[in-house]
Amino acid sequence: MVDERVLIRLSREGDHAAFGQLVALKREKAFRIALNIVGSEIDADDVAQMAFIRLWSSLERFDENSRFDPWFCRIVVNLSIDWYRTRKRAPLDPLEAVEASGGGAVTGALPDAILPGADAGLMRDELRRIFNRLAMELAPVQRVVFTLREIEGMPSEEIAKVLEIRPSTVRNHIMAARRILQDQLRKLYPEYARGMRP
Amino acid sequence: MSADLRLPSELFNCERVNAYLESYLLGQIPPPERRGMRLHIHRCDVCFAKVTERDPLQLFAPLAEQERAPQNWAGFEERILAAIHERESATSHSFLRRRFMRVRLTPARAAVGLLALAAMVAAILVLPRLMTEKALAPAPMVAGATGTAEPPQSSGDPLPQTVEQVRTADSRPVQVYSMAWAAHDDGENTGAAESSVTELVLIVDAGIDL
Repeated sequence: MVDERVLIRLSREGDHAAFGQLVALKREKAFRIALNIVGSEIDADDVAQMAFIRLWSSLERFDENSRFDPWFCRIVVNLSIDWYRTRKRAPLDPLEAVEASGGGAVTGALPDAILPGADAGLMRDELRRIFNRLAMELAPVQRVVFTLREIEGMPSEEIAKVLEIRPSTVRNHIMAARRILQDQLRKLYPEYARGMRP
Repeated sequence: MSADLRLPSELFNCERVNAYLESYLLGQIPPPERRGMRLHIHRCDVCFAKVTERDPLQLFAPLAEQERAPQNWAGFEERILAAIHERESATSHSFLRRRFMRVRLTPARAAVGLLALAAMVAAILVLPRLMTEKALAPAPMVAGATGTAEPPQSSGDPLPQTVEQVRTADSRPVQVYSMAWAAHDDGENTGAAESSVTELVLIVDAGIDL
C-alpha cells in the first residue's frame, strides 16, 4: 500500500492516479463526517465528492509538514455546513419525522428490525434516523462539534483548529449540544434515554 | 515488542471497560483503544446499560463505525476524476478567452491594429534592403590606393570588369569588384535612342575569410 504522504505529494504534482488512490483512502471518513452533519446518504455523497474536488484544487496550499487529516476535515466540514445551511428544512414535528424516515412510532414500540438480534446495519439505520431527528434541533456548529467530538472522537483542540474557533468555545458548543440532545432524547425517545438499545 | 493481533473488540472485557469507563466518558482514551471499548460496550448488555446510564448519548457512539456498503462506492473516484478533468479543461479554455477576449474590438482599435500590422510588414520588407545597401556602400578611400585595374576584357555587353585592392581610412585592405552592363535602346518605341549602364560594385573586406 502506497504511503499517504507519497500520494499527497504525487497528487500535488498533478498525478490523477495517485489522487484516485488518495480518494479511496479517505472517502470513508469524509463520507461519514458529511453524513453525520447533513443527515442523508445522497447529500453526504455529494458533499464528499465536492470535498475531494476542492481538495484537488487546493492541495498546492497544503503544508506537507502539517497533518493532513485535520486539514482535509476542515474542507469536508465547511462544505457540510454550507450544504446543511442551504438545505436544512424547518424542524419536522415528531410525527412527520417518523413518516419521513419510513414509519414506526416515535415513543412506542420499536420496529421488528431493530429488536435484539436484528442486523447491525439496520440497527445503525435506526440510530441514524433517531440522531437525525434529534440533531434537527441543533445549530449547524453544534451539530458539527458534536459529530467531531462525540462520534469521531476528535480532541477539542483539534476541533478548534478545524473550525478556527477557541477550544473553550468548542467546549461550550459541546455542552449546549449535549443538553439539547439529551432533552430531546428524553422527550421523544424515553426508552432509549433509559438505556434501552435499538 | 510484537504487535497485538487481537481484534479491537477483543482488547477489552467488562473488567477493563470498568477500569477505563471514566476516561472513556471524558473522551480521554486515544482513538484505537476508544474504538475497542466502544465495540465491546455495544455488544455487551451489562456494559451498555452502565455506560448509557451515565451518558444516554453514548447511544449514538456506533455511528462512528458506520461504513458504506462497497457497491455504493462504485464509480466514486471516477466521477471525481472526471469532474476534475472537466474543470481543468474549462479552466484552460476560459484562461485563453480571458487572455484574448478581454479587449473589446472597436473600429478605432481595429484600425490601429491594421496600421501596426502594415508597419511591421513594411519593416520586414524594407529593413533588409536598407541594411544591404549600407553594407555595400564604398568605404572612404585613401589617396594613393594600391589597386590595379585590369584591362578591359571585351567591348560591348558586359562591360569590362575590374578588381581593385584599396585601403580604407582605418587601413583595412578591401577588394573592390566592379561589374557593369550596358543597355541600349534604339528608340523604336520612344523615337529617341538611349543608352544606359548598370554597374554592380562589390566591396569585400580582405580580412574576411571567404
